[in-house]
Amino acid sequence: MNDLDLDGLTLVRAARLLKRRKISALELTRACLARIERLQPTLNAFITITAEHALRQARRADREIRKGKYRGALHGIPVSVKDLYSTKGIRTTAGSLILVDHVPTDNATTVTRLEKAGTVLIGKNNLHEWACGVSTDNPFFGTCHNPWQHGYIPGGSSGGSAAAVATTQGLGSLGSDTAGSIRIPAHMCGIVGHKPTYGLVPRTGIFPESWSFDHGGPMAKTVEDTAILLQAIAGHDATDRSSLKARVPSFTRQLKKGVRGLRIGVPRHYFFEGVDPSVGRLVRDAISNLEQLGARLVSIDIPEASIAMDCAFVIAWAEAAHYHRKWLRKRPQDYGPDVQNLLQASSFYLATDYLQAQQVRTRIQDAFHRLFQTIDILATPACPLPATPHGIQEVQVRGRIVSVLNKGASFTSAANVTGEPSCSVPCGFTKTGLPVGLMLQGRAGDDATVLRTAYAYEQANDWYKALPPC
Amino acid sequence: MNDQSTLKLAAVDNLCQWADLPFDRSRQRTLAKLLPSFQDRARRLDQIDVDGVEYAFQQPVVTE
Repeated sequence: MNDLDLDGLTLVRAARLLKRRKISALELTRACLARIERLQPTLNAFITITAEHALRQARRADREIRKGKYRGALHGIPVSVKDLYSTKGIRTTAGSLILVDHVPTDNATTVTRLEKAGTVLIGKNNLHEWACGVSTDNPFFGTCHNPWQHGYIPGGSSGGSAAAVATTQGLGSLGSDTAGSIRIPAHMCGIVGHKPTYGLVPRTGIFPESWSFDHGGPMAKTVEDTAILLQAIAGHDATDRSSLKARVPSFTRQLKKGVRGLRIGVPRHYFFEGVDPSVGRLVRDAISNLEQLGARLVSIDIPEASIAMDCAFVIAWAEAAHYHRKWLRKRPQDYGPDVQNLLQASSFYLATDYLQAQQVRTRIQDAFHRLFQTIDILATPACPLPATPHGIQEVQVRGRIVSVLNKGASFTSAANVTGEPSCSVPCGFTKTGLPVGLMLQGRAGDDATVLRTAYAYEQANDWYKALPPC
Repeated sequence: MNDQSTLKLAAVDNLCQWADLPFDRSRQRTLAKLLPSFQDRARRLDQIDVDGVEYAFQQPVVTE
């Protein structure tokens, strides 16, 4: 298999070929590594490429498949993980200078689960330093670029994961999402990113940003690929206090149920205000399409959404400042300027500010809980903006100057505050060729309905088949 | 809490001493510009009535 054959290859298709032994895991891994070698100088989606490790795992997968010990859809599949996930014996930096030589002695629980499923780890993805931002302009490991337009941000903080998946430098990746860090880059790079229900995916071994809001989750080209990855990593882990004990349903089995009869909430306010016009149009078209597929649209109001960003900001940055407090005192020079500013300024939040925000969080959770008694899915843009050029901190939207960081996370952060599942699925391109994501949020624990809705839309539209120009 | 776009440098210096954060003058100048917008967020949340509202700390969300 040469590099060109990877174009358009999904995880599901690769799994079929591997199972029937039409290709080998070694061929597939070599093709992905060749593509990484070609694209790394321009996209910089990886901090560490684990070629030797990957080739060993691929050979092992081939041996097992030959002997009839096929483990399932992830067996022999090359994947990457954000360099926030601990990998035993493999450097894990969190995109920081502080951890530049850190080699964990254990895997993150999710990495172990991927290994058990038979995946091949091809590398550790670039990210915004310590997962604290949306540009993935990393001061220590270099700028990661958007595969649809060089010089533009891929989103973040899981920007390397999104850029790698969009260009088939691997068939899936794991990201993390504290205020949108899976869904924002998925939106900006034209892939699927799913933030699971809080606690569904164990966080042990993922470097924290904010323990109240951190989620690990899958990123892939298609919804089915994403569901397969989620299935492998979801489930209770006694080493994570926030881990859900609920039974994990089959996400893949429910995908094809369609959306007939589902009640889809369309917000009258907030989520369509201050939105880039092309983003708004594409998302409204996508919602109309869901109606054509049999869903029932319901106009809703959720005023609490407008305070979710403030709530997320205070809690997440206060918790991040607390986690970093010792390094901020001793090694402040070892942070990039933007992250240093955010963490230092957040050091001054009062305990009373934090506790007020936690109480407000409960109010917001209650409001969304009530909302989801009247609808099944909330449909909105994932992000008010498409990707922006690197180096730009503020942009003008509908005549107003807004911060890229704050605007970028203004819609996604609500699901981090509530803990509800939320997925970004591609829904088209702006006139300048930048991808846009439709965000679908569901009730807590009902990741299956979120993925099923995303799948129905995706299959009716095929945006995932579009290929980035690089 | 402050409505001004920049805090007085002396106030930031006092805050840094109180919090035992050894930031130099240059950092303090940066923080003097940043802190008001950070505090504005806390102030907006402070307007919301949360009397009697409890919160679960780092617990799984309720699923049905």
